Amino acid sequence: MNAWTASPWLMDAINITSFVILIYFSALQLVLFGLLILSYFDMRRRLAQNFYADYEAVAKSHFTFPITVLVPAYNESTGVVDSVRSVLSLDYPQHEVIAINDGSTDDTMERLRREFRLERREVVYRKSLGVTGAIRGIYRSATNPNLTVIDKEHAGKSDALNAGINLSRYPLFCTIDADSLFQENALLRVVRPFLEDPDRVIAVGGQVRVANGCRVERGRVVEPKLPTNILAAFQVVEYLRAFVASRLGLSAMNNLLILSGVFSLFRKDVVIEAGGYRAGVVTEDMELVLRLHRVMRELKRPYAVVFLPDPICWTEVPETLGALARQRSRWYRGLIQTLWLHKSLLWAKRSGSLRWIGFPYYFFFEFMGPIVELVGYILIPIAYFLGILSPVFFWAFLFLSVVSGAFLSISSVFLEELSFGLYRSWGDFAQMIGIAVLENFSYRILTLFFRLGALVDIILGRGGWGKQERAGFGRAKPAPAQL
Amino acid sequence: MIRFETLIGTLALLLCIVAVTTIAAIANKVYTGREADSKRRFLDLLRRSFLKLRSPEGQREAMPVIVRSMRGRWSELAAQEISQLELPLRLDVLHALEEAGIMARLLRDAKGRLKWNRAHALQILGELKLPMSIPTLLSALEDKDADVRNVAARSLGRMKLQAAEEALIALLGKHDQAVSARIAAICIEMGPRTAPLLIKTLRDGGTKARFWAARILGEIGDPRAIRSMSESLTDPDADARSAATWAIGNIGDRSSASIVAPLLQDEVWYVRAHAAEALGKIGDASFTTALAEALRDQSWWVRRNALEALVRLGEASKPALMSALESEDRFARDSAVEALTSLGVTAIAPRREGA
Repeated sequence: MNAWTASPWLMDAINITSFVILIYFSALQLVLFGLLILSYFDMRRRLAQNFYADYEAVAKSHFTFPITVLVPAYNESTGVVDSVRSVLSLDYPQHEVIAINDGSTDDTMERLRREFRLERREVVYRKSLGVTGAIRGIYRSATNPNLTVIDKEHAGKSDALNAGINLSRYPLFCTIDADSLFQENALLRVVRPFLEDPDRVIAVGGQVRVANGCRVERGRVVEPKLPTNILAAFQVVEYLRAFVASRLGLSAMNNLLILSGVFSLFRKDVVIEAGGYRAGVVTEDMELVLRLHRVMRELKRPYAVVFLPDPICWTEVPETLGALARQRSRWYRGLIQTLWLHKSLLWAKRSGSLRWIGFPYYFFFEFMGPIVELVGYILIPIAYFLGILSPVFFWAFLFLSVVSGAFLSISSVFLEELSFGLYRSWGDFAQMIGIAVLENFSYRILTLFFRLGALVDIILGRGGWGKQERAGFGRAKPAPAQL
Repeated sequence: MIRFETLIGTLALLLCIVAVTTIAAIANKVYTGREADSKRRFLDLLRRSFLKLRSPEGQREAMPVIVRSMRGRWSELAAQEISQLELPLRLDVLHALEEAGIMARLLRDAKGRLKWNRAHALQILGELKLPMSIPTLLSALEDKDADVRNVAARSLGRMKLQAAEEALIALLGKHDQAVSARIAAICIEMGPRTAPLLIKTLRDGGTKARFWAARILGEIGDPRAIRSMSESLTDPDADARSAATWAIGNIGDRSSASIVAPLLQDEVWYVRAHAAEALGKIGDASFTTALAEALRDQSWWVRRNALEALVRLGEASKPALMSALESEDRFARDSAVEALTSLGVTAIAPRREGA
């Protein structure tokens, strides 16, 4: 007992906060469990659809929508050539590739010029979207007629993507990061919702997997393997959990607010109508999807934003603490900024289910999660010093949190095995199960602090994008990506 | 506050769920590993049975195995294998399947309550290519579920039977985009033999049917369709008009350039855009001036297609492009520069703004 314990208001405050945290934790677990169940059924439906889908017919069909693939690159000299080559060799009836060099200070442009024998061209194009960075030149490849490269001054990824949209010819466009690789039939798979429901579907996202550790040959992942780097291995399970167990469930309710910028397909006319990518935002992909939701609901048009688990794109993830910290900080700042920009979705009548499901999910669990968790960590020593912490309850609650976290991760690994089974070796499988348990004591807490760091940065008015390092595929080291 | 027993109970329950999930994941991994072997053994057995079909004694031995294969979990695989058999042997197998009640069951399942059962049955019926299943497959094109409709269209395409062709063409434009596109793709695969029926549809069909018929005929590239297609150029429906324009361009018959050129003045932008594209594809240099004029069209796509058409026409379009360099319209001038550069002209001096 000490003087503080005598203070009833403090005791009340601690009890009430603990109770709120307990309610929050229970609600979070229930929601995640619900999403997992939804994901399971949606996954089963998608797999059955795939079984009966005739991708050969789609590939040969004269009625498959042509696609423009946009590859924005800023200082991506190590990965850009592989990425462009991977996209050019995709199995698809009609697609063009537009790589946009966003004023790189390294030799990205030189590599592209040399590798694809680029020739400068005078090209007249429609300026549907405003572009800030001046276009220095437009190049066509002498070896690949469907490759165009835009060389422009640096003005950010949004600006680069808008420039690519302006130059694109086709009604659908797909974005891919310059450090990512498509699975061979990824475009055929990702376009399916557009073929089935062309009037309603406005955006489709594919699944992003971790490329680190995989065997890559000529721009293709030929053997998926777990990386030896522990940070990257943690992210394999994390990506599975995010994509397989959560986005699939939100997509089933048409409440998905994030489509990864690494691999998404959009209807161009709708994106242009919504104003294209917004400059000056941290996560332009999430902002665009949220804006599309908002515009479509304001216009009272039926629409769907779909996530598909089977079109797969491989991306490099950070392997160093610094790169990971920068990446997570950027994502968290982007989340806060985007939610703030579109906060009116919470009260606007036309928001429909977004008001009750999508927006609150991202607000309470994605944004508030680290804050609530931090409060929990702060309360523990306080309660201990006040002598009101029950060790049994503490350990039981900690164990409960670890077990429920492990359950979600193991379920995601299970869903992966059930659907794709890409990691064939028993070693990789056992490692993923191990990581699913271990991450709750280590990686999860680590990323929590990265996100809290971002929050502190916002409060103190600090920011910046962080420098990104790339190692290139099939070579050694790390690189941040967008989940 | 929460009771300790409740907490421990929840914990125990969660632990059990985690254990069950882990065990299920491991079991699934083992099962998947064995599945490939099981499939290979199944195919070996089936193919050995097929080899025995040539003699009456062999048939007596093999048929029960084949019939059994159509009842198990690999029945779709078995149907695919059966579809590869020589015709006389396939007919024998189909007869045996009919006698064993497999066909009746498939036809029944195709109208069943569970959607994936319906899809499964329709898929197998498509592989087996029995004319008796055509009415069932056609009615499945009206199924309430889009996935089932897609499987039905795919199966009809696989059958490649004349009776299916006629029925499919009769259904053109009566379904949603995905099924219509699938039917159209099947018709294209069937090739010129479907042209007479499609030409008839072009004349007498509904609006959407006329659109799809024109698209298919354009893809097939049958010059017999030009006459009917030129009549469609005055179709009151803009979609049908644009499809016919596009199709004429794809067929590329030189004599049709003069009937396409007036459509550069059509009131609907996409008809004008297709007309510009078609003139480029047809390759008749008589309309370069009209195309150069189209560089000033109010629609971006018309201007873009006109530019590409002029590039496609090559040397012949240079005079018209040189004139376009003097145009008051900036886009027309820039397009002329782009086109002339693509044609290898380097020293270009377009008129300056305000000059």
